[in-house]
This record gives sequence, structure tokens and C-alpha cells, in this order.
Amino acid sequence: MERHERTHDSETRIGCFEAMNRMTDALDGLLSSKVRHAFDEHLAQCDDCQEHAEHLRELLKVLYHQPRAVMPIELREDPLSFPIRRLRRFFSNPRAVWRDLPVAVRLLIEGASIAAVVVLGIRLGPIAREMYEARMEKRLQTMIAAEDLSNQAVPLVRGKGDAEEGEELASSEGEAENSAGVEVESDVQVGKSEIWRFNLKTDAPTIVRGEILKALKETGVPENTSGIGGVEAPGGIQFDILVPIAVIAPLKIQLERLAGTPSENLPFSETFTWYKNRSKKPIPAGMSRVVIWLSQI
Amino acid sequence: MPKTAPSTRDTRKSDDWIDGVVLTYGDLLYDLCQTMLWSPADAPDAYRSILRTLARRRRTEKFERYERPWILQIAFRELRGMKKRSPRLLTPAEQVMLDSNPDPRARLRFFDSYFHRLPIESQCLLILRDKYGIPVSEVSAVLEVPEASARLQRLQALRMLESWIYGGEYGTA
Repeated sequence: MERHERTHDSETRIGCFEAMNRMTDALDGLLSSKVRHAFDEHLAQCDDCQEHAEHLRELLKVLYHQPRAVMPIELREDPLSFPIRRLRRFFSNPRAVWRDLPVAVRLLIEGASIAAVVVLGIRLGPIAREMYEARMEKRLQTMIAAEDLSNQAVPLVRGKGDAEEGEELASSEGEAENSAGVEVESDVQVGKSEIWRFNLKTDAPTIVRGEILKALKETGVPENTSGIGGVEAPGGIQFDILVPIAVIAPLKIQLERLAGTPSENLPFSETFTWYKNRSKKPIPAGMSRVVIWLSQI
Repeated sequence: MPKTAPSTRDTRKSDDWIDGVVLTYGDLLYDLCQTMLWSPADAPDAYRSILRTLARRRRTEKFERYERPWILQIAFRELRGMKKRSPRLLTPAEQVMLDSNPDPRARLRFFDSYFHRLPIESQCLLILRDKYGIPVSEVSAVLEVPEASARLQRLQALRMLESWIYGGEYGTA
């Protein structure tokens, strides 16, 4: 490429190097009139510089007409993921968001809310009360029926509970054979001088008492057996009776059934455990001592 | 006055300010993102990132008179970082195709590809100055270089483009 030095044309004041340096300013129209004149003169005489100027002019034109990216509408509306921003703002200070709403809208929402609460109160109040009363009535009837049943059979005696038995149990702990009450009837083997203890945890001992009396009767325990009515002790009711050995197995099954079906007819629930230990006190032959403890949950 | 009041006011002010930036400079910023990153897919993320940086830095940096260069400077820094982290490079086949085409008219159709061979600073300079007509003095503030350097850099970038598109060797004239 031919180079035009400053001395190329004595009449022009600028050479190709300077013309190139001033090219962008000339294209932007930033040159002073004097320099502009010299620049134009140089371009008129120098084909290379003229060509460069044409190229740059064309490049600038292309640059200017480059397509401009169109911002997606969702980005324009939510530049910082606005929903998240507004949610964050709402949770950080809901009162501010509430305050931003127009007064008319706020009054409308408040009025509608109060009206809705009043209407709901009027409509739902009696219904809720009726449902509650019906439920309480049913529960009361059940309790009265169960209590009547238990009182009809044998009266409940008031007593201290079995502190004595506790001592006895503690003393014979070493030889006790404890087990959780999930066994079937074939596993029940009753030995001599044994105390069989059944524990039922219940939220309604008086009701369960009636069921136990029924169970005792069904298993063949004589009605005149001493202590068959149970003793009311702090924390529950205790039965401490001497029964024939043959009664133990069916009685255990009955008690298990009673504990296993809490919700069919009775409004209470129980948990059932049993174990046996040997008695230090003599027990008549063919008999076994049964202690049923109905503890109040 | 409750304790939450100032922060709420600040949040609202900040939101309003961001809305104003979006309204005034949103299109320019988005186009800058897309053109410099050369990726329509990355542009929205870059745009959001710039707005987040603006919102964050506005709390600490005071500016009263020179809002546009301050915004563009932050945008340029963000985009330069992103471009460095994930540059889009031409494949060898694309390079050969660009260099082997003898017709300048045909080369002009691939102006984008030649443009993205330029350094990121030159790209930003040409976009701001020649696509959007922002004065060189402002662009030099954006690029954090003296005004004379920005002018020279612009000329060099144009000469570089000229040599790639119209042929010839840059610097021989």
C-alpha cells in the first residue's frame, strides 16, 4: 500500500498518518474548519485515505444499523423477577403493601370481610353448637349406661389400693415371669400359688369396670367372690380376687378382647399388659389370685 | 414512628428507582447484554444481574449528576466478568469461513462474527459510541480510560474491523 508522507503534497498540511488519526473525528464532524479543509484536501488527493474513509464510513453505518435486541415483555415488566420481589416485600412488611392500596379498595375489602364474618357467625354458630351438644349428649348417655350396668352388678368399694401387694411384688421380682400381653390362649399355663396381674390403662375406669364384671361373670367367677366389685383406689380401680385356675385363660382372653376393641361401643381407649409372679402367701389349692388394675390415664 | 418505616420507605424508593432505570436505560442495557455476550439466552440473566448490582451499589455509592455513565460502567464490568467466565469462541471452521471469504460485501453479512473478534472493551466502545451515539467523553468514563485513549481505541477498533472485512493489513496506511 502506498504511503503518503507529510511531504507528499506541499500544499496540504496533513499527511496520511495524521489523516488516519483524524479520520474518526472527521467522520464525526468534530474537526475545526481549518483542519477539516486540510483533511478534505488530503482525501481528494490520496486514494488510499479516501478508500479508508469510505470503509470506515460504511462500517459506522453498519454498526449504527445493527439490529437492536428487543427486551422480552416479561423482563420489562418484572426486571428483578418482580413476583418474587413483591412477595418478599409483602412478607417482610404486609402492612406497607396494605397501605399502598387505594383507600376505596381497602374500605371495600374491610367491609366485605366484616360482613363475611358476621354472616358466617350467624349461619355456622347454631350448627356448631348443635353438633357439640349432640356429641356431649351421646357421650353422657354412654357413660350413664355403662355406670348403671356396673352398679347393677356389684357395688364399688372404696379402699387404699395395694401397697402391700407392691411390696410383695418387689420381694418376688427375681422369680417373676413377665411378659407383654399379646399371647394367645394356648400359651397360658397356670402354676400353683401364682398371682396373675392384668393392667389396663383407660381414660374411663368406671365404664371398664362394668365390662370387667361382665367378663368375670362370663368366665364363671362366682358372684359372691370376695372383692369382685373392685376397690376404688387413688389412680384407678383394682380387683383382687381368688379365682379357680381354669378361669385364668378365658379371663385373659376376655380382657385382651376388651383392650383390643376400644372404639366400637365405648368412648375410651385402653392399653393392656399382664404378667404373673409367685405369691409368698399361701393360696388354696386349685385357686389362683388375680389382680386387675384399671389405671386412669 | 415504627421501626419498620424507614426500611419500607427505602425498599419502595429502591423499587421506584429500579423501575425508573428500566424505563430509561432498560433497552440500552438489554441490547448491550445481548450484543456483548453474543447470546440471546444469557442476556436476561445478565440484565437481571446488572440491575441487582445497581440496586445494591446504589445504597453505598452516591451519584447525582452522572447517572448514565455510572450505570453503564457497572453494566460493562458485569458483562466483562461474564464474558471472561464464559466466552463464546468461534469454531475453527467458522474462523476459516470468515477468513477465506474474498468478497467484502459477503463479509459484511458476517459483521457480527468479525465484531466479536474485537476485545470486549472495543466492542463496548463501538456499541455505545457508534450504535447509540453516546459521547466519547462519557464512554471513556464507562471504560475508565482517558478520553484521548478512548478515541484512539475506537479508531484502532474500526481499523481492525476494516482490515478483517475489506482486507489489507492494519497499520500499513
